Amino acid sequence: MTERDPTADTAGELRAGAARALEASATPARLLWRRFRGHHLALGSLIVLVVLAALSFAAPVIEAWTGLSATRVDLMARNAAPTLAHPLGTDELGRDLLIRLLYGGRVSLTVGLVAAVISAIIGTVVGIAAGYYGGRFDAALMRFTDGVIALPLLPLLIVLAAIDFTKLGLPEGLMTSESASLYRMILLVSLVGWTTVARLVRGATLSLKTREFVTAARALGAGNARIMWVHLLPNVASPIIVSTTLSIGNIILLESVLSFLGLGIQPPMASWGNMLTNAQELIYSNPMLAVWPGLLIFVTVIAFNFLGDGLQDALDPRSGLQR
Amino acid sequence: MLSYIVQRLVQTALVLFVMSFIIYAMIGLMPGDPIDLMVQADPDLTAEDQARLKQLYGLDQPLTTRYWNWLTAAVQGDFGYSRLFAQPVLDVLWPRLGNTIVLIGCAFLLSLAIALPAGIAAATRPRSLLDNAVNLGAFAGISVPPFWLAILLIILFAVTLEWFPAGGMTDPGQGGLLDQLHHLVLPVVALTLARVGGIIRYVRASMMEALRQDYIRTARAKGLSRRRVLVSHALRNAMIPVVTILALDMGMLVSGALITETIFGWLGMGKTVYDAVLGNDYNLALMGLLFATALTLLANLLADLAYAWLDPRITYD
Amino acid sequence: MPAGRWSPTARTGSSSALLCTKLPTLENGLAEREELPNGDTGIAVTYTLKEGLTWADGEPVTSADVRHSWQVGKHPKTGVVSQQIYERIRDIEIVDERTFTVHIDRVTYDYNATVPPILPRHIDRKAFEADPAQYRNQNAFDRDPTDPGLYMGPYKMVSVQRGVRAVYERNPHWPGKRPEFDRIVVRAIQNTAAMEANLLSGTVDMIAGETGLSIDQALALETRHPERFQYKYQPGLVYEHIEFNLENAIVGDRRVRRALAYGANRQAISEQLFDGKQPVALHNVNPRDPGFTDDVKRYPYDPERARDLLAKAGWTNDKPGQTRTNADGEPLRLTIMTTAGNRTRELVQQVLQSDWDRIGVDLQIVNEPPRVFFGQTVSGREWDHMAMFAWLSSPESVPRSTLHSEQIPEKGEVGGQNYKGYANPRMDELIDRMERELDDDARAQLWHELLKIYARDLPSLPLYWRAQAYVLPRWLTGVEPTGHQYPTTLWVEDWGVAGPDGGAQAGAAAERTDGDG
Repeated sequence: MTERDPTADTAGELRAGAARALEASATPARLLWRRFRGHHLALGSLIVLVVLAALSFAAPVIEAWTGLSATRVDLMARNAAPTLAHPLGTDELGRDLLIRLLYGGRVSLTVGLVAAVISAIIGTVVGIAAGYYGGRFDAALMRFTDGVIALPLLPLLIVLAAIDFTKLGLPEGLMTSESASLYRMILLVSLVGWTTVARLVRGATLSLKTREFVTAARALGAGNARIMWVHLLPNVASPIIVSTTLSIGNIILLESVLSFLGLGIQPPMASWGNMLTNAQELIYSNPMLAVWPGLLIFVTVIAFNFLGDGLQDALDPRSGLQR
Repeated sequence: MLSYIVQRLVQTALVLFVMSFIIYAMIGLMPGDPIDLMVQADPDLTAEDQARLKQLYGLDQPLTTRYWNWLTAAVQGDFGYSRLFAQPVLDVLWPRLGNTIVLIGCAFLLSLAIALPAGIAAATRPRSLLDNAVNLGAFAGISVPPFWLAILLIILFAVTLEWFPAGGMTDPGQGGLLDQLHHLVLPVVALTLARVGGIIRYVRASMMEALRQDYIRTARAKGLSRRRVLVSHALRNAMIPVVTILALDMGMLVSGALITETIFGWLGMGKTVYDAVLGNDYNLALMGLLFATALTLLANLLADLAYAWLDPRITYD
Repeated sequence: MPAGRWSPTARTGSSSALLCTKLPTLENGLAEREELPNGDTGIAVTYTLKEGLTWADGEPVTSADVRHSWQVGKHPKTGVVSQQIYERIRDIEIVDERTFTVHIDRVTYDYNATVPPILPRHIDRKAFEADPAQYRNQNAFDRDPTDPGLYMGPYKMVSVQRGVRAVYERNPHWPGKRPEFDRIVVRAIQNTAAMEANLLSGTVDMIAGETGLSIDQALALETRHPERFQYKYQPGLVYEHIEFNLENAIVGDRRVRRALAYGANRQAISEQLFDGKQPVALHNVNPRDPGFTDDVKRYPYDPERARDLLAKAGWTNDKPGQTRTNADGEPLRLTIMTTAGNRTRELVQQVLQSDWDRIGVDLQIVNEPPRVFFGQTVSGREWDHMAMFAWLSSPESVPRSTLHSEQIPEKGEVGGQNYKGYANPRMDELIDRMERELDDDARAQLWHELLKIYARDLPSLPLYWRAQAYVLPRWLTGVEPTGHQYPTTLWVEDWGVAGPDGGAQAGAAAERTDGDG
């Protein structure tokens, strides 16, 4: 894959290049997978996530198949205990909790994953460019980043909520539908969420670009783009992966905090976050309403983080040496 | 280095100036000015009342004019009155800034005191029982929304065990140092628990990364003590991402401790700025947010300086 | 402040009226009609302040204080929110230390409740005379809120931390009944779950209903701790309803509105969600108001009838489980909007969605943060079909601003609050007449007719009367929730637990108390 040794000389870099060429011929994807497979926790996490996602996205099918409904209110069966008809009981409006959790998973996983990945991509590009080019370019980009970090979320959210997106030329069906709050969430989190990755990547790049292997690559005639893409990116993967996997959980929770403020995903659409928020006032009378979404968020956070660990190890050719 | 710092301070001032306009515009773009909101609460308010009040608060003028008026006064040191508190803006903000710094400062130190040893210990023995325990603890902290954490803490320590007060900053009639510390415990713990998990993960990851580097192994091979290698070689390099995160946290906490402040009745910046934004208290919201911006910028400047100290090869020019 | 009279509880709502010896009326001669220079008829009303009424610093409360308060309120630069009552007063004439005559420029039913809240002239005058435009920042209530001279109630404020708590102690000069408690601490806790925890941990003794727990929280608390506290529920003057956009072709049709009323099980919402503590509203007037009548058209839950009405309105194609369509094949799809983050309203919306689904109406919920909802959508009349929110009124308050056709705001203009766009000439006439009708019985007749029209036309769908939940320690006696716009604490000497006294607090402080105990 790549070289990380700061003490490597030009010859070392050449040797590493040769090794990389060899590895590449054995299809890197397969190698990656082989190394990843060895990380049992990561593999387990991947399976858990795939199952969760599959169940969540199959929610409408399951709904049709079981005859349960995520939106049908039954005021006579509020806060019911688990029965055969309702495996996890019902919520404060008598709706089936299980189906709502599945629908909630659709929203939460989508928001978390999409927003985290978009943020990571923007942040990486900004961070590497700023760190690598340095000087005025760095200063300008980083002051811009500072400004975005300091942007107050609350008025931004309110202004976003007030914008009539149809006037901006977006199709009416997209932004006025009930899922408008979902797109808004993703948009907002992506707009402001990339700053952490950008600062992390830039910090690491500042340190890496002075290392010998970068100097060597440049001496060998590699262009800026190639240096950033081939030499720097793999070496800053560690903070990117940690930050992205952490932020998936953070975004799911941010959504919950925002619904606490009335700015998150709007009912009747369920999300794990707004289910948790709504359960707040029922903490004594029906604690399970909070426990289930809380547990699912917990499992998701763990799984994504272990997945990140596994990915990080798999990307690093020498990590195997330690086990 | 000195010229770099001076240059950065100039940039900081420039960013603050730009941000002041952006924030002003954003508050102004929010639909519903204070008068519209009053109308909603009182069906007896007449159209004449509305027109008179709008004129009185200057809301009948265009946004740019209002901003210009604010700016010219602010440059002369007059930051105006808070509409909600009917007090000069700085009189409202200073004590709250102090409260916030106490709260965040304690949480910050506590987080570091937990995260550094825990993260390092986990990184040196990957996949051990200890590592797994630290990771699970960190994930638990990350997975619980802050408002739930705060309420659970209150229920456990204030309602059930009755060790700490459920909220407020002092008890009426008291207010000594001990009393204040007593009230500080739960909010600090709540803030710390919410943040420490993330920091642990960064410490652990970058420490592992550093330990994999060949020069660390070389240092070990040369016979340097394990402790010396960890502290003077690995930790130094591992700290770059950690410093970045800590600096970002500092900035976000000033406005981001909102939930903790609200639930514990802690009179800090987060809550004040939130109320000011929602109440369209331009002067107060603007200054509060600018304080937060300035803190973010300064924290990031400190982080950049720390990079150069941690890794002497990093230079700025 | 138009003071209402809550006749059934025999308590005058007006804080000023509490301070006078006798309610002036035309019958007892203390109120007299008078001719104005322009030929209109006005009225002169003479009040006498109770003897011994004193500010907490020992200065007597005098007629000069009343006159000063009116001057402050009338001045266009002081920033008083609602100026209506100050403008109606032509003059306040000082008869002697304690007696004054208020000259009003018109004769309305509430002529003997038109007195401004009283401000302490001896402290307040300086800031007003110095610069009226700076008064809203420089007045003593904001600058030195613990000055005893600001308070004339049973208690005075001795210390305050804005947004956190205020401490009250007895006013030694209070002429009335000596209140029970030495000191009362009012705390603001802005999160209801934290508020409950504070109550359970003993940090606060009681939670006042005015801004306290939500009904379902209080009910849940009562289930868990039935013995530990006393619970009082008082339906108040907050009228939760759905405002239709009457200019819309679908809900502009009265048959559709009626169908929606029949198709919504409002009784079940009240009983199941609120345990019957928040009664279903028949129309916009509270059952305890003198103008109330239940002799109006009612809409019990009747899905069959709802379906019939929808079919009559042209929404004929009805297949079970599907959205109804009209002859052109357009689906009967309605949107409802409300304040995002208000959990109770969100629950009610979802119940309605489910109810109306059964009559073939597809309800889309599109909520917005309160700022956007009130600041743009409602006031700009930009919602499509239905907007759910509440009106807070005072007893016998004439619904001019919400129902009179002159109060329909034009697009982009500041104006009235008839956002729904309701226009009915008979309604306009009733409103004009009832304001000037002094005879109680005759006015009640006008009210009854107004309500009948309201229930027949259904310009808004009445939902329920919001209730306040008081959670009190068992040892506390004499607390009687008022259920109107004046807080229970105005009668603090009866029950011993205090809040702000009758003095006028600037609007800023009132916006910030979200909960107390």
